[in-house]
Amino acid sequence: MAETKTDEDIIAEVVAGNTDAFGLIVSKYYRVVFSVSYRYLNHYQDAEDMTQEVFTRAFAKAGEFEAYGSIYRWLMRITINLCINEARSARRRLTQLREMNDVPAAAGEEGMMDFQMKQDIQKVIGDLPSPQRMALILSRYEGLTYGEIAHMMDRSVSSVESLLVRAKRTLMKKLEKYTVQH
Amino acid sequence: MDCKEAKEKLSAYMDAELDADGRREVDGHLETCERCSHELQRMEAVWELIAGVETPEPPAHMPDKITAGLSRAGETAAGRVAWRTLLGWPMNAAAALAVAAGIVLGFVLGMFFNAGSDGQSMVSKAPAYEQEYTEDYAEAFSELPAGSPGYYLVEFVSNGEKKDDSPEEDRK
Repeated sequence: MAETKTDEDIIAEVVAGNTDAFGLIVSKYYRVVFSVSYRYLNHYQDAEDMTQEVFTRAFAKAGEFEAYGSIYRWLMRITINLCINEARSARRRLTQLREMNDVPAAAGEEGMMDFQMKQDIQKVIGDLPSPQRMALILSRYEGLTYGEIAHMMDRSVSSVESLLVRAKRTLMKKLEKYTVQH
Repeated sequence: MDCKEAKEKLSAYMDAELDADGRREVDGHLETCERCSHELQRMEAVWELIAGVETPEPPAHMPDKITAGLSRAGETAAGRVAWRTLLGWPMNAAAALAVAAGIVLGFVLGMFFNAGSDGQSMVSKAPAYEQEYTEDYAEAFSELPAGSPGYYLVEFVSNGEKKDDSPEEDRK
């Protein structure tokens, strides 16, 4: 029977010099890192690049994960920090501009409406201020509690609560036409 | 609880983040306030709406690409460490040699130019020695590049005559 290693065992091996073991961490978590990156950056290639950067950073600082209690939280923390820093760069503003101008191939009226709705949702989320956007992604798509989000974003629970209140109010206001139908 | 307070708590209420007392308070307000109940419904609807936006799958080769990138980063880091080690040795050794040379030089200069018990320095009281020593020095350090410390030492000892070792066509 194959021995099942915990994430902590794997990281211990990485810290001890077995860098190949880090591949197991990558395999286990690359999807969630990509997902959060994609939702935040709203661009496929950027999300791919960001995922690479997250794991490169994690690999370089493998010994620091213990402060976060779990590999998942640690990787999320790195993802959050890198995404928010990326969002501040001028490059992101150019990428967002490019993304908004992308028009997909026509797929029939219903498909286009559905696509349009999804584009509108992504745009509204993408236009949220950076901290609100990240808190929303972690709450809605990762299912994290306010306490967990607060720890990862290095904020208080009440701060996270305020971020989500404002984010939701913006969503309600800008996506009202879709919620009436739903 | 008034509407203003209730609206501030609706988000946390919806996310089940209120404690028991907070939840009870909001419950009580919602039972009697149609406006806040409607607000909660709108919030739940938009929350449900955005859940429908899925993320695309990452490329299947992504884990391999990531680990390959880590290997390259590791090699680059290892290479940087190797170079730092390589440069560190001669640099550290050079620093040690420079200190030792400085001590020796100071000692030698002191011997030459400090007055002895008779008030005269070695240089001043042994012209023949100086001449012989200077010649030895000049011969020994004739290959010294212009501008090096040894070059200037020879220059100083040989009465300041500066050798112009630039190519003839560049000389004034």
